[in-house]
Parts: sequence; structure tokens; C-alpha cells
Amino acid sequence: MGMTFLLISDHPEDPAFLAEIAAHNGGAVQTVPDVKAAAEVMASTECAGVFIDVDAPDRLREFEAALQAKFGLIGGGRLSANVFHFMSDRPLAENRELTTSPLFANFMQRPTQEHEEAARFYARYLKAGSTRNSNDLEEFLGERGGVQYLKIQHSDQKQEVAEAVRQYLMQGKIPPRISNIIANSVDEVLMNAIFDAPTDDFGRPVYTATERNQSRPLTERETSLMKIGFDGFFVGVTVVDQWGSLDRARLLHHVSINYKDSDYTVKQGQAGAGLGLATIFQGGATLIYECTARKQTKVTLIYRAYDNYRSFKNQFHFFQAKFHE
Amino acid sequence: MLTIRKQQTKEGPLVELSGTIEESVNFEQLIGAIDGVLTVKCRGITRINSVGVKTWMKYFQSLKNQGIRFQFVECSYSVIEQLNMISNFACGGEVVSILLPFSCVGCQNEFVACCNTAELKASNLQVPKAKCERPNCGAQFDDDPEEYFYFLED
Repeated sequence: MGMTFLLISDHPEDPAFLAEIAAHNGGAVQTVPDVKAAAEVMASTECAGVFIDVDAPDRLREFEAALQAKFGLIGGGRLSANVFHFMSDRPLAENRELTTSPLFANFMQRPTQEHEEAARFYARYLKAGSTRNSNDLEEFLGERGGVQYLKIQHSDQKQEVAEAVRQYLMQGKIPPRISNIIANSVDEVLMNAIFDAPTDDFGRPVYTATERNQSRPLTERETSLMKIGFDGFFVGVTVVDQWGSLDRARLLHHVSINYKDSDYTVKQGQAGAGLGLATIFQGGATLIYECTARKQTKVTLIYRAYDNYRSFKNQFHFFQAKFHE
Repeated sequence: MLTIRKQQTKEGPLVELSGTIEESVNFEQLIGAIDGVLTVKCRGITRINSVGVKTWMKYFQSLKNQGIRFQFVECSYSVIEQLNMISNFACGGEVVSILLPFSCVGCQNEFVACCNTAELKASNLQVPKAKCERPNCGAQFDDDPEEYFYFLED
């Protein structure tokens, strides 16, 4: 039997979007009229994805209640948040309350243009990253992506790598402004891997308060693997650390924060204090985290390489935060 | 890596910053003592990482706290992005002029034009016309005016 993709939405564009995703992944869409019906389906059918329009007032809270009634405590092992996909017309920074839901794992702001391409993009990544696949970037970009690998062994490599990424992208005819943005994102995720990921035996961060210009060789466990590829259409970057120490609440807080209308307070000893994450996602990246507790955290950035900034910044993008025990 | 060129003007020091603002940057060391109004030329700033943002804000906030006046001229788009993302990124300094990015539909040429913020405000934040240096090309502003000029709105 094929995969089931469950849809709970009144939005006119969502069925076509999901149909594209299901077709690409060899599955079928089942649309349900309300959250109780969705919970019923989930009790009898294994769903590869549950897509929910979260713009409808109270729907998410009602869905949580329906699932709780059917399955018991959410997060108690019978349900994984990784299957839920939230769909909204508004950006994540205007949807911060969603990040407090135990169901939050995948978020997309609906595309405003090129709907079919957006659906294919989502479908392509969903397929490549459907399981704990260590080669998701390679599968997403395909052979044309020419994925290259790099082991980060010293903290000083960070800026060199960011600059090398910038040069690589410019050689691929990606405009300088866009190349700089992607290079900056690489800088940020490497910084997190080098300084925020390592923990001691009790799971406490070791280098969080360390100055980010500290020069140090990385121990074998502190090394990170970086991948980069470009298929002529999408640029993809993955950084994998060996810690699996990502804090879900902090991640969701930082990625959804909006500094536009409130002052940013500079604090001692907190490096960029999450600003980097907000910059990456709000700057147009698709940002995918996959954390296997105490083993590894993998972060993947995907950008569509437009030839002008205006299209680039308005590109369809999504956020995923998948956690495994 | 950030490079700096300094010169003294009648009003005070003019420093021209080029490159990346990141964790290795030390503005106190690079800029040194300030006598008069500090003018920071930002045309060459290509990117600013999150630690660079913190370094920037710590430095300019300390200048503000000491009563030292400063202003920013020819702000590149990487500076504009921060001005738009972080409401207090200018730390009380005046943003005198900014660079406007244009791209050419015909020849894919990218270029910037410098514009005074006072003039922009006077024109109700209308993007001024710009011409590609190549003949018969149609340049267009390569950003959303509403978002690019967000920090200039009252």
C-alpha cells in the first residue's frame, strides 16, 4: 500500500500542493474535514505526513486536543512530531505561538508564486530526507549537484571555509550579494557546530561562553563534516556535528524571533545569541535540522539560486526540526 | 577579514571599512582615538555575521555612551540588511547615505547607486532612476523598496 498524506485544510491551494507532494513520493492524499476525523485516520493508518493549515483559528489547539484524546499524551511515544507539517500564509516570525506546540516540527509559509515548483521542491526534499538518511543532500541535488566534502578540524577554518564557499558560488555565476548571504549562513552554522554543539559528560555546553575568535584544533569528536553542492538550480550545504545536543526550545525560539520592532540587547558571553539563526531563515534559506540525541546534529541549508536578489529573498522556503531519541 | 583606511577631515576621522565583520574584528584597535565626528564609510562591507553584529553594536553603543558623535555613509546592502533586521543597529548614529542595488534585465549587470537618505525621505522613499552603463539596458531596483527602506520609515 502506498503512503498516505493527510490534509486538514480549507485553503484552496493546499490540495494541489499536497497532490504534487504525494505524486512525487508515490503516495495518495486523504483530505479530512476536521481535526477529529484526522485523529481517527491517524489511529488506523500510518501517515507519511500530516499537513495542517494553521491559519484557521484554534485549529491547532483543537487538533492537539483531538490527538491527546485518541493517543494519550503527545510525545509519549505513539506520535512523532516529525510527521506534522504546518502550512501558513504568514512567516514564522509572525507565527511564534506555533513553536510552543508539541506537534511543531515542519513549517512552511505558502508560496506566493511558482506554486508547482515550490511543491516539487518540498516533495523532493521530503523524499530525500524521509528517513534518517545521511545522504539526503546528495539525493536531493542528484548527480549534477557534485557534492563536495570537507572535514572541519580547526576553529580557524570557519572563516576560510565561508570565504571558499563565497568564491565557489561566484564561480557558479551566483550574484555577489546572494553569494555573501549564503557564505554568511555557512559561517553561522559552522560557528554553532564548533562552539555550541560540544558538551561535557553531563550534557552541559563546553564552549558556549568562549570567545568566537578562539583558535583551537578540534578533537576528533569536535570535528564536523561539511557538504556543499550546486545543481545549477539549488545550492545545498550540510554541516554535521557529532554531539546531538541541540536544544529544541532554544532552536525554535531563535529561529522565529523578530528583531525588527524591538531593540536587540547586546549581552556578554553569548556570542550572536541566536541572531545568526534568525538571519539565516529570514534571509531566505530553507533550514532543516535533524538531531539524534547524543549522536549528531545535522543542519542543511538549501537556497534556490536565482539570478537576482529580489526573487532570491522572496523564494519559497521552509523550516524543519526533526528530533530522534 | 576587515580592512580599514583612515583619514582625518575637518569634522573628524573618516574611516572606510571593507570586507567581513566577524569575530576577529576589534573596532577600538582599528579605529583608535576619535576627535570630532566619526564618519564610517560602509561601501565595502560585504557581510556581517552574528558575532560581528554584536561587536559592532557594542562598539557604537560605547561611543554613544561616551557622547561621541558618529555617522554612516554609503552603507552597503549588508549594512542595510542589519539596519532593517535590528531596530537599534545604528546605535543612534545617523545614516547619511546608502547604496541602492540595481540589476539589469538585459545584460545581467549588477551595480549600485549612492543616495542620500534625506533626499529619499523627501521623495517619500521613491527609488531614484538609475541607468546601466551599457547602452539600451533596462536597470531595475533589485530589492523590495518597502523592505529596503524599512529602517527609514518613521
